[in-house]
This record gives sequence, structure tokens and C-alpha cells, in this order.
Amino acid sequence: MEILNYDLVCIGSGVAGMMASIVASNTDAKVCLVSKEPLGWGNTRISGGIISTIGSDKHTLSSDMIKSGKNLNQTHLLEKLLDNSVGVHELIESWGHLFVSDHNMSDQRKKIKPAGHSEARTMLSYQRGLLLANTLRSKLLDTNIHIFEEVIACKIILNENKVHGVLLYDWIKGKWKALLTQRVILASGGGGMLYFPHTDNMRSATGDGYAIGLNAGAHLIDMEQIQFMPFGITYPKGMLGIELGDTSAAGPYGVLRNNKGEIICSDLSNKTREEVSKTIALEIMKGHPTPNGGVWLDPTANRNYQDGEESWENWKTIGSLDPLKLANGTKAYQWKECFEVLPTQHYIMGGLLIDNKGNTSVDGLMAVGETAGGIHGAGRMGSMSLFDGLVFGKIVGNEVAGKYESIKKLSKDYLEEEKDNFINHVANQHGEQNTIKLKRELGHVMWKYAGIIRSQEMLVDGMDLLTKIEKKSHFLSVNWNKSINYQALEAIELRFMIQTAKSILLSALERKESRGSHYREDYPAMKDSEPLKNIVIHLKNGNLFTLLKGNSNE
Amino acid sequence: MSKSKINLKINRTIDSKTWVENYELGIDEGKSTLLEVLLDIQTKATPPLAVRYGCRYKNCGLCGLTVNGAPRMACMTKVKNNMNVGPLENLPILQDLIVDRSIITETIKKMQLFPRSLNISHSTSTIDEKYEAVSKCTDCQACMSGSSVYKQKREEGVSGPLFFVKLAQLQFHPQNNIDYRKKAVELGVEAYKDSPAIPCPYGIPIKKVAIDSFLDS
Repeated sequence: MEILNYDLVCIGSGVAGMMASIVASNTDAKVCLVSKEPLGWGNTRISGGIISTIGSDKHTLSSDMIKSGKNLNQTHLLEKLLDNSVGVHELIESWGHLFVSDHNMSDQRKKIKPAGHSEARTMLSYQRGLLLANTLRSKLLDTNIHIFEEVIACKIILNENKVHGVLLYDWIKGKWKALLTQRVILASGGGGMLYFPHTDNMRSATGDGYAIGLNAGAHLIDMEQIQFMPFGITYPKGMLGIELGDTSAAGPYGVLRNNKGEIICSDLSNKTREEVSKTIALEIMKGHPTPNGGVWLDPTANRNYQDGEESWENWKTIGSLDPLKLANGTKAYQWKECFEVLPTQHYIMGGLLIDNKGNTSVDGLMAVGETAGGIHGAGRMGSMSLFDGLVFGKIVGNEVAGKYESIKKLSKDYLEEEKDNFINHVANQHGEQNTIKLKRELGHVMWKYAGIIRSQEMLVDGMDLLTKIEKKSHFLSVNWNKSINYQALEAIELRFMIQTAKSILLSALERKESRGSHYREDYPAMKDSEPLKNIVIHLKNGNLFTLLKGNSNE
Repeated sequence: MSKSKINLKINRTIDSKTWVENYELGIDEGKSTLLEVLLDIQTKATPPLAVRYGCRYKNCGLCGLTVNGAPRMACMTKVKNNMNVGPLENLPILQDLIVDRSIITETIKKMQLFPRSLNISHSTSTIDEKYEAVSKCTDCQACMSGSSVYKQKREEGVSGPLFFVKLAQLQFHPQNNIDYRKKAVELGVEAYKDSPAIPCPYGIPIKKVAIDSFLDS
């Protein structure tokens, strides 16, 4: 096993991880960034690239976020976020990023108002998330940060309850590495693959950071809060779940219809992602699905009005209508006929519990971006995740920069034992289970039993099915010493997915009310009479436990 | 939608063993994408089939491969009977349909293909159509596979077309102050002087914008 020393190791190369690493490297520190995919290939790259600004004042933005988050937000994180956002857009512009200009005032950036925002304060990246990911990659490569690509982080190496390093597996070379460091930032994004194929996330979004954090002793918060984008593709199968947009993507005159043609939802652009996704899911549950299991989005009225036409032009330019052309044909693309839509998993608002400097409860372990939880409460507004990733990335990067301690040497035997324990944790029995098939089974269980609509019965059944998958998952055929070991990568991810999925189910069972993205048909109302609680998950002796934490908003 | 049975041949590589495997599949004719059937095969094939993919529609650039020898994105290709699917060419094969991508980060770092000395005060409101074209590049590596010049000259150290696209992104950036023609020569642009058009799934006119722009004058 190769053993290397660093001052800081960052796991993940999306917006948050790249930003944190770049800022932290502004000293003479030895910083290492680990990416299990090629550098910069997270959800940032495929995102719409919309980034909020503070707008007219931070209090208005703060109240919009809390309204959208149904009060569940960790307000101390939110305040820290808003107090540190000034200059972040200009910073990435100075690295070559471009925002779309306003047609009327060419020195100004165009601003849009995604659903939930009370004013137009969101800037649009030129070429969507692609340019943002490329800009950050260029800046990162222009520093002395050491990079490991296509190497997966497996576990935090602890000694006396403090971070002492991180264990990695290089699936291309089939080799293990131990990076010794006092500080690790988990920035590995979310976990859309837990709902595959009902997700618009990248294949790589397998919830790694949540599981790595849990296993190190950190806590998760509000994992039941999973955001579903209302409009995803239903057919063909290979495109199921691909995002067609936010509520505003229906245009000002778009309506939703059931299989009988009856209008089930209108004024879409003034409704939240949560409301519209729930309306669609309930309609399908009533037994009125369209041929491919969704509802009809009828955008045709838009073409009769000037603002409707403008809306179509706008979405066409942004490029979010492109998938429609391939999936549903030219008429749907032109908003001249109805097309089927189905909500699709988009974002996890829950995540690792952090303080306002990004620290988890484990000494030396930090989390940022989608991997961290609490900022967005029970519902995230559009354009807030890249904003969060950039700003909190900068906060955490600044926080660690220059605060490096010398590394205590750990014996080779200790590290080898850590590795053996991890291998045992991933697959302790040799068998012939197909890893990818188990991942698909997990996706099916989560969508069906812990999707948009939940109940005690569904969640308990879901947990039983997940336990069965977990049992099977110990019987995998993994040869760890083989190079170009795609199988091993999939097996590690499956283990992380199972732990994250269990955390979601447990939190969803615990929250006996409906709030934001979490809808319980057995508890359909928001319990505002009782004190508001955050649900915390922790791991003890191999078992997950929940505890309740008073919310500071009360 | 009509269901039909088709045959698909996949060039497989595991360790140093290579073979062609035939798969018989049910598809929705004219609708199913190639990526869709590859992901289906993944749940059944032994030994497991390695496929690289990310977003499942166009944005990430990870599912590049060849269909009957021509570079394609699996997510944007409708599957048809008797397609012969293989990994991208002119790149080291890691396993099955997965090729090595480390050359991208390494070359950007080694050749310093990142912005230098941007004129921040310069307006970004008008974006050159050349920049618009090259900024669509997702690093899918299809151009590396489909370029006859790269195939012939890569052993001599000529860089792949992808890196001229990266260079053109710097050259045509609205705030750029530097002429990167010297860097293009270092990357071996001369070798592409008489190159035929280079394929790009995103429609970037690579020869015209990313090669010829550095050869003029």
C-alpha cells in the first residue's frame, strides 16, 4: 500500500470541492483532491449553471430560503452563507467564467427569478454548468494541488477519535493508498443514484460522502428531505428521469392534465417543485397515469400569447428543451403538443451535520455542498445549490488554510488492518451476486417505498426489502488485486448506497408529519403545534440510530 | 411503439483478452437509445460489461464509443439491428467500452491550457461565434477517435484535436489578451493542415475553428 502525507485532502471535484481546494491552496500547504470520476465530472458539470446572488438584501433572500425550506433550515448556516457570498461571482469571472449579459444593459448580468425567489436575483452561466466545471478545473490545474482521478475514497482513518487520514482505492490500477492528513473535506455531492433511474443526477452520485461520514462517527441531519424535480422524461426507458425543468419550464400558460384530459394543476410557475411533484404523484396513485406512467404536461396555450412565446424561446436558448426532441419528437419540443412528465430525484437537502465553519462532530472532518445538510431545510430553491457550493466551498477553504498540523505517523500494520476491515465491510462472503443488478433493485425500492409519497407501512416494507438487498450484497465476486477493476468500484458504491438509503428510510419513519419535500399520507399535515425538530442519524456498533434535535428557528 | 428483436455486436476487452460478443435484445424500434440497451446488458452479462456514462443525455460527454467504427455518444444514438459497438479508437482501452481519459488532465496541466492574463475590464456581452462553437465541447474524446491525422501522427507526439479545441477556448475567450498560435505549434497543429473534417457529436466545426484559426497568416 502506498502511503502519502498531506496537509489537507478534499474528496470530490464538483463546485464545492474544487472551490474549497483552490481557496485552501492559496498558502504553501500540501493539498490533495480525490475524484472517483475524471476531474470535474460531478453534477456541477451537467447542472443548469444558474447561480443566485444576494439580490436587493440578504434578509429577503434568507426569508425566501426559510419559506422554501419550511423552517427546517439551520439558520446559523444560512446566515454564514449569506454573510460570505459577496464577491464570489466576480471571483470565478476573474478565472474565466462567463455569465449571460442583460440585452438592455450590456455591462449588467441578466437576472432571472426561479420558483420560490421573490425577486430576479439569479445569474445564468454561459453554457450552463459545463463552463463552470471547466473554469474551476482550469483554475485547479493552475495550482500545485495534487490530483488523484478515478480513485475512490473508502474510509476515514481515525486515531483517538481524530482524523489521521483517508483510505483510497485506485480502481484503474487495482491498488490501495493511504493518505495521512489531519484534515479531510467531504465534498462528494449527493446520491441521485439511490432512485435510479428516477433521477437526473450523474451515475457517480451514489451518496458516498454520507456513508463515509457516518462510518467515521459524524451525524446526518434531515435525510428524509429529498427533492424531486417535477418534470422528468417518462419514455424511452433509457431517458427516464432526465430533467425537463423546474415548475417554470411549463411556461406561464402550461397546465398538467391526467389521462382523462382533466386539468389537475395550473399556474405552475408560481408553485414550488415540492407542490407540483406531490400533485403529480398523488394523481398517479389515484390510478390515472398516462401510458408511460406520468401525467400530461400541456404547454400548447403558451404559443397563443407573447409572453408564452418568449418563455419557449428562452427555454430553447437555455437548451433544456433538447431532450424533449429526442424523446418526444419535434412537436413536443415546439410546445405544439402535450408530452408526458414524471417527477425525478434532483437533490438531497439532508446531509452531514456541520457547524458554520463546515466541521462535523469528528475532529478534522469537514463537509460542504450537497454532502452537508441543513442549509436548505425541507426544500431548496433553484440556483441555490451552486451558490451554496461556491460560497461554503470558499468558507471551508479559508477556514482550513494555514491551520495545518503535523501528521502523526501511523504504522503500516495499522493501515493494512484498516484496509482489511474495509474489504470485509464491502463484501465479506464470496458469491455471484451481480452488483449492478443489486443497485437497480435498491433504486426500485427507494422510488417505490421512499419516493414522493410515503407512509409508515411503505417505509417499513421498504426497509425490509432493503435489508434483503443488504444480505445479498455481502455475496459479491470482487478481486481487489485486479487492475482496471470496475467491479470493485461498483461494489464500494453499493455499500455506500445501502447505508445512505437506510438513513433516508429511518429519517422518513421518524418524521411523522408532512413538511416540504417529505410527504406522509398517514400524516398529511405539517405539525406546527409541536416544537420543530431536526432528525439526526448516527451509527453505533454497526447500527443506525435516530435522535431529535431542537431547531434553532423556534 | 413496435417491439422488435435485434442483434448487437460488442467488442469486449477484459485484461488482455479481446473478443466480439453477440447480444440478442428486445427494443422499442426507433426509440431505444444505445445507452439504454448497454445498461440493460450490464445487469445480465457475465463477465460484467464495463460502460462509462454519466448524465444519460448529452451533457456530460462520458459515454463516447464507436458504432460501426464511427464515434458516437451512446445516449444520443438510437439503437439499430446489427450495430457493431466498440470503444473509442486511438485511446488506450481500460475495459470493454471504457477508454483511458487521464490524457485530458495530464495534457491540460503539462501544456498549461488554462486562461492567462484575462482582461477583466473587457466586456463579455458580445461573445464571438467561434467561442460559442468551441465552448460546447464536453471532452467526450470522439474527435480523438475519429481523426485520421491523429491516428497516424499520435505516436510522433502530435496532440489530439480535443486539445486544439481547448486552446481555441482560450484564444476566443472574450477577455483573452494572448495569442496562442505559438502554443498551437507546440501541440503540433501543422500536422492537421490537410486534415479532413474532424467529427464532433456536438457539431463543433473543429477543423475550421480550432485548427485553421491557428494556421492562418
